[in-house]
Amino acid sequence: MTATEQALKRARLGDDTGCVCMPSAGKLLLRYTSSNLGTRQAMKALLHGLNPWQLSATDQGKIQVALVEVLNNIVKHAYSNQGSGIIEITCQPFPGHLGFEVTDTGIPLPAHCLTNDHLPAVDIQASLPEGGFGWFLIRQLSYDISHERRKGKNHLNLKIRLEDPSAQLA
Amino acid sequence: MALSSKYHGEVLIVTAHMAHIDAAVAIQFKDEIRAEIDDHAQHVILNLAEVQFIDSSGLGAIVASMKQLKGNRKLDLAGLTPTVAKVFQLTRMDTVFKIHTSVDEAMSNDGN
Repeated sequence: MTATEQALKRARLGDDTGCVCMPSAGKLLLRYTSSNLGTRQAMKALLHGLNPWQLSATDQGKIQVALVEVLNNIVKHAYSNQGSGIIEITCQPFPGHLGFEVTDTGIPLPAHCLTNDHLPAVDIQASLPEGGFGWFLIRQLSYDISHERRKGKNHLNLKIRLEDPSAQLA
Repeated sequence: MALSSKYHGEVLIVTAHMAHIDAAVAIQFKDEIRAEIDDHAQHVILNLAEVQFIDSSGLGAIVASMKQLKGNRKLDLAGLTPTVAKVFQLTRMDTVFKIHTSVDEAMSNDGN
């Protein structure tokens, strides 16, 4: 069994969570219906699926933080917290990085999300921000972020660098 | 969702018994923290040792909890696991909160 087949077998463990994983050459594909719990389950399935690549705990944490922020934004903004939209995640491992494409059919992503990398001001305790960290975290943890709107779909692409040189990449 | 709390002397230790503080539970978490912290508690330590993952909405809930404590009352954090610590570090929230390695470490330093 190849690493990819093993990955897909493990990712299917996520099936009972409403997360469907489909085989595709060298990639992991996940599909779920927009909800906050669905996002949590999709991440669990994705990390299961990535098990054969033996990513370090640090890399797994990085992937989880960045992807969850992307997915939260889709649930909350693209689909306005109405759990009916489909979210698809494609993950492709490369030596040294993972490539992700996340698609949804919700409202278009505002352009400023990709360009604004300011951290909300955190120096005045009384007016500390309780939000606005999501895109900042995504931009800190990933690179080559791009967005395209095609045929009513948002396509967000990003890459996450793998820091652990011992990671076994297929 | 589960929180528990107990006093160690003057310090109220609130422990989060959950693996995730994310968008699925952030609002409930904020409400439960508020319920757990009584008006007499001047110094609260939120023990996050069981929490493996936090996202920006969970972070927002913790910030909101701190902002609810007026005057000299304070909220410290303890027991951040690696991914949780990373989120606090990236957002510079590690400069806003006093962060203890563990509850034990926080208590042994208290009053020194």
